[in-house]
Amino acid sequence: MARYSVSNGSSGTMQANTTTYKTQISLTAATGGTTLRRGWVYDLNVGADGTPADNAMVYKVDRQTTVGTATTITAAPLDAADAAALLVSSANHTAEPTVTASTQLLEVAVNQRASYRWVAAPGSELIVPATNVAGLGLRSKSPAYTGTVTAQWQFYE
Amino acid sequence: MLRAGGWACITDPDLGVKQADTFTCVHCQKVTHVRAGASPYELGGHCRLCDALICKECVGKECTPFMKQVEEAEERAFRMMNYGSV
Repeated sequence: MARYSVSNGSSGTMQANTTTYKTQISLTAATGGTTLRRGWVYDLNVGADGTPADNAMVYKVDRQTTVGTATTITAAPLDAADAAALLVSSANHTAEPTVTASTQLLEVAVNQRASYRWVAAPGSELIVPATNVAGLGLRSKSPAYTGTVTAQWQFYE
Repeated sequence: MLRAGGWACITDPDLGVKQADTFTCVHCQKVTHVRAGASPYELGGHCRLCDALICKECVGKECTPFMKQVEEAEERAFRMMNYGSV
């Protein structure tokens, strides 16, 4: 299985955080019937990249059923010999995707000056079903911080 | 944690590096952080049918392995796409 990395710093304009969740990166199954494939997210990093201050940040990963409006990112293969990813990576959403309620798979509150990383052991990855435009989104919000967030994850398909 | 399902790390300039094991619920895929010394009942439970850990919200509920849900969702999507109905 080929492994890929996606970051919201790759392309597009990072969106400012608000008091409501802002999707930083998302990973969805392809829209075509012949390119549907499952994906497994196994490593993610996230942190605020604005001027350091003591504010609360909340990051979460949950499921979504649409892509929303975002910049399409070309996932970088960790092995340059691998083909392009079939899963669709998007970042810096200007219109939020449709989030499936009560599907917070990973949710953590940290200080704005802190960064968070999660790595899955084999067999415990977050799965993207091979269902048209269904997928996962990494989102952030803050009651006071209005800067941007750097989010990156790695997946395989 | 024996055979942890993952590892989480918070790097804070004041508190330093805080690490924790995690496990992924076999029913809903929710990731639970395992604090050292936490009561097992606070963290979730163990599904004897799946023989795997489940999160607190899935304790007491019917066994529905997530991979089974994925396969059912994919089957529904395949039928909708190819036959126009589920």
